[in-house]
Amino acid sequence: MTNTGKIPKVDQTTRYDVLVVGAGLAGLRAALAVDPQLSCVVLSKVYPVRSHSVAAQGGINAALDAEDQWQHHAFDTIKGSDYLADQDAAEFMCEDAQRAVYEMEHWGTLFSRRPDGRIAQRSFGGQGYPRACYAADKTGRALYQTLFERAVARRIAVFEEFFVLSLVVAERRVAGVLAIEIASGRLIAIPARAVIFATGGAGMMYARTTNPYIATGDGLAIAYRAGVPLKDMEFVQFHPTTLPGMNVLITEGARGEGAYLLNAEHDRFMGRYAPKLMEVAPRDIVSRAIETEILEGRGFADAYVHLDLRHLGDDLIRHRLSEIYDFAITYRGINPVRDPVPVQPGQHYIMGGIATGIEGQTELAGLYAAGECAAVSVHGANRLGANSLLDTLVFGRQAGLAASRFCREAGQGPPIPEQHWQGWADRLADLRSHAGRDHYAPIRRQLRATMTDSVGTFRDAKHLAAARATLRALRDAYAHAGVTDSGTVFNYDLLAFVETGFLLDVAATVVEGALLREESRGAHWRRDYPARDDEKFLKHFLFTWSAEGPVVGEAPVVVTHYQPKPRTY
Amino acid sequence: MGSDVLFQVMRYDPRRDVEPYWAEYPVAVDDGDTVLMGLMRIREDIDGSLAFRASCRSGICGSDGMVINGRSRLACKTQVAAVVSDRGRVVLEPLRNLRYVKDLVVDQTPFWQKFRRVEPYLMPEEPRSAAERPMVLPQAEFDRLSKASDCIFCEICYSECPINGVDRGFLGPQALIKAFRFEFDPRDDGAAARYAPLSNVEGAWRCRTTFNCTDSCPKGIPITEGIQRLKRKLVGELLSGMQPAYRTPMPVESPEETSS
Repeated sequence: MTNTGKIPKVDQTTRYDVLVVGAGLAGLRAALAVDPQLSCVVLSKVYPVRSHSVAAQGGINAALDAEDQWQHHAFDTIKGSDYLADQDAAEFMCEDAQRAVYEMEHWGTLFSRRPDGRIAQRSFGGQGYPRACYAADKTGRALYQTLFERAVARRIAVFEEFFVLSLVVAERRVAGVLAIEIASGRLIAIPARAVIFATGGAGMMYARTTNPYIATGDGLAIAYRAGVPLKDMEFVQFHPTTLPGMNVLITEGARGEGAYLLNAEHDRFMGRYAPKLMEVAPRDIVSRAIETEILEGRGFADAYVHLDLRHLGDDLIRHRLSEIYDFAITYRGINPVRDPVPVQPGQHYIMGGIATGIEGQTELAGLYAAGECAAVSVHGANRLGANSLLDTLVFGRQAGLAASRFCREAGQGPPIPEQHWQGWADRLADLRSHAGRDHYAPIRRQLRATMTDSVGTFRDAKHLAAARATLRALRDAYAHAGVTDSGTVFNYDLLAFVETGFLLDVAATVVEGALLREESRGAHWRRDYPARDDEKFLKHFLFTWSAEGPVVGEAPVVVTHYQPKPRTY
Repeated sequence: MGSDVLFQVMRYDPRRDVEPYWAEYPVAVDDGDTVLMGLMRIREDIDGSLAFRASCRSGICGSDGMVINGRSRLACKTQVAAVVSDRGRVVLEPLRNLRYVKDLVVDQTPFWQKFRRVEPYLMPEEPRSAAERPMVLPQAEFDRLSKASDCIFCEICYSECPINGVDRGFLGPQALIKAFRFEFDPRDDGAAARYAPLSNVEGAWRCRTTFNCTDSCPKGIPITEGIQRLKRKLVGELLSGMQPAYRTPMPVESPEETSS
């Protein structure tokens, strides 16, 4: 095995037992769980430490205290999901949380401390107990560095800056992936017995998002195109507090520490929406509250409200919220110790993803998924803050263990059929040789504007239908679009072109699900159907690819101990 | 949109160009816009072929380090208004001390090799017993390590370090501050494993305390101070009987391992 950071020779003949796509928390945790007797490689389209896991701020939930119980965490998660989470999966995650946190602690994560030296925990949205373990407001980075360092210690092989184009399926099982080596432009087929997707989210389909440029739904679109169903795609999380402009995230931990939300009339308006939990109500509720204040004219001129941290004091802000202190100063020139910070909701997370079971398994033999790109589903219609980091560690490990079992049981995989390789080779050659066709950038920009304007916090049939028509037109335009850069070396233009195609496919499933779900549940709010309708819609939608657009199926929600109840905070 | 600002960007495609050249792009910029936003506008509206790395847009992923008006900085943490005044334009070049590949892209391989050389992880992996690695860490110890662990691997210190410029073998500030983060963790037991790479001729002693790394670090890590603490610890280890390793350079890794 080679060290992390090196690029060994890759060609069609190198075979791996387990191939992981994505080197964020879920991907690396999966790789670390793979049986060391098996060969394993991680592919990442960026250097691993650029993965978006490092941007997570607030925390990771685990019932650590004697007074707390994982069952309470599970209940909070299920209620937060507006009862759409599969309850067996949520219970599994919450029961495994303590193990996951202590494992990271032992591997070296620098969690913030209580006065007695034990791991500190704070309040987070929708939680009945302060159970979010944190490392200041850079919990994702602290966890990620530990996991990355562990991967270096274990000499996990990583192919850095490899962009995966497609999943190869043969004999009704996974055969490997097709990828571009970004540094050279070479097309490479990598055969593998099992493939784990841990490719993160798809926030770049929205104009206003906290997500990075790389969050383009690659794994979702690739699995979808290979015939694997996506689940719960209509549920998109809008984080209540992002900085207007770049929509940089301002952690929920700020409100967990006691910050207030104030409208332009200096009213602490959350009292009217969630009288008990106030600012630490779940994200869907707080985002809608902020949007409502703005729409009804009580926001500030550029569509924002204020997050007031001043009463928390200089010391707490600089130490426990150091990152957002820096963000407010860097991007808005505002010192949160002295002035309130402008905030508005922005796309943050997708609850939906590749439909998986508790072991990360999908409908396709040999394909596993974990992290944001997967829908187990533990988050249902609305994810609680500090549950996504937990999701990556728990289900990343599950996927690594299950893929190892699959390798032991399923024998050698089929070879990669040449026609698969040739189709993409022709397509890329055509794009490069016809550089100068209409550029994809306006298509992507219009997609992002459409999703933010029509498929956001508040939805209705009229706007969703218009969005569907726009997306179809954009798909047609995309079929004739092209790139500027005809080169091979670091051709980011070509990658962004392919990513735009991924985003269009993923966005189509979001719009389709949002249209069909004629109710309001969690993050999906229909103005024309403002109530939850358990009789008709206590179920998952599954989206399967077809040339005409998504074909929608259904799956039941697993209910173990918690019957759906009205959701008040 | 606000006023137009001229972006002067070093361009080079190894498959097309004999040598690098300057390209100029007028970019519409608003108050508060970052250099990265300008670059994205160039890629989306003017010339899609411009190559640069970027991801999170907010100074946490470390992708978009580049030389901006003469100094290495993160494009996403640098406001156009803050740099444009000194030259009337934004001048962009690739990071220094790393092999130039294309436009604003450099080959980061040596940086990562050096990071790995200091065995940058807590040792041993599993505590021998629960009592040996208590899950208790005093606040003071936490604070000291926490700042050092803010590193985002952006390579700006590596680009600004004058020693990295003249001595390609020098571990560089990032690898050393990473070593510091573990060497001073009370839960760590890896000093013996890190002693050779840290104390040899390309290790901590090569640092000449110019403070370039500390001055340029976008996360404000006091890197130089960390390296000096490492040196003091190495002296202690030498006095306590460890063999001097400073005359032995580390073996250079063979090119086969890194070529693609």
